Amino acid sequence: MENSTRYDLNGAIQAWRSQLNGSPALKAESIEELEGHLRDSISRLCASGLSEKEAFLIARQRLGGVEELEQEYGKVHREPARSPQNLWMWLGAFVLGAAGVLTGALFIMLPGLVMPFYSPGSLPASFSGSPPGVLLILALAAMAGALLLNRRAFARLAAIGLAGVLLLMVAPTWMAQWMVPVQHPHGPFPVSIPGPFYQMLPLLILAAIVLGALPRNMLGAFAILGLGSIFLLITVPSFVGMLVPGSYPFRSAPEYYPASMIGFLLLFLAIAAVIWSLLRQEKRTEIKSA
Amino acid sequence: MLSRELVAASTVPLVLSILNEGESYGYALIQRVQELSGGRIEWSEGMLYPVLHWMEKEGLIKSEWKAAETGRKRKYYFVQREGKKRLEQEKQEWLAVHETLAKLWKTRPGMI
Repeated sequence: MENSTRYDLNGAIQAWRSQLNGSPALKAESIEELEGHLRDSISRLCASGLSEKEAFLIARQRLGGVEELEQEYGKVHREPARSPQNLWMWLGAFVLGAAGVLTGALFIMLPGLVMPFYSPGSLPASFSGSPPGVLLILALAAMAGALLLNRRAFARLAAIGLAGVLLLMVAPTWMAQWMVPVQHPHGPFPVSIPGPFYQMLPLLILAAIVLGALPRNMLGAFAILGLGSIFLLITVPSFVGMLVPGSYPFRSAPEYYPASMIGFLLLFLAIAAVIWSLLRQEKRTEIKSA
Repeated sequence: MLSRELVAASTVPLVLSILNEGESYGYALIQRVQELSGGRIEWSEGMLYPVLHWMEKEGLIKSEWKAAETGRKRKYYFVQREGKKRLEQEKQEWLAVHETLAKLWKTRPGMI
């Protein structure tokens, strides 16, 4: 066997592709198109008498290095093209979060039927230790998947982030249920920390690390997801309480009804708008400095 | 070889003019321009695709993945109505520059 006669062209192209895969400026479709170009270029060079290896090296050289390509693509794929995509992504995150909570709320209204750990008012408990909790987790996974499809460079971070979120959602409930049987006095606000604070400390630190490591886009998406969840968490039960008197699932708290719905809607919109504009601004300055 | 600025300015009218003759794809566009210009206009290959994507975003052209004769899929580009309008405008502008310079250089051949 002479090793000079067999050149693994496909392997070489694959390796070249994987270099491009890491770049946030290059979408999958662009890479596909560039590969087509590279192959056209190679076959033409081969036809003029070069070996596959020579042809590959020259064609790659002509197309430009990863950095060069990134720079060229980065110039054109600037923010205005991306923002609608981001908007849809965020809307999707909101809807997914809301859908998860909606399912959760439905389950909460059928106490004891599905959730063995049901205790009125303990929303976090009914969430992550129950089918709706699982659904919400699935929703998070779906959102992370969508993010991954758009920006493969963040794949690893997204996985870490998702794991962190899962842990944050599930662990406190389990800890609370197993260690300290807690009643939550605050109605629909899942703010009371179950169990002694020091038990939660490691998780809080982990959460801080995970969130700190997330890129801006994902942080924004998570924020919207969370807002969507909280929004529905509060409004749906209020709705039901309004329509069916006496069925408010947490405690009878008439002050949560219509006024609070509008209030929370406005709050949600305001926070979302602030985050949205902050992210946009940061992106703009990024482009200018590039 | 053209200057950077001139390459940047002439890419859009060149692409539109070629696509106005019929659909084409990135690699073929580069080849065509090289042939037509006798090698004097040489695009850096990586730069063309982002420009094509930008032109598509602007609605000047449209793209479609189609099976090529090699069996692989290839992204073909087509000129759109907006693109034809833009081409007409570019043509006027380039001809204005061309005619002006030609007149000047004709009266003073020594310049070339």
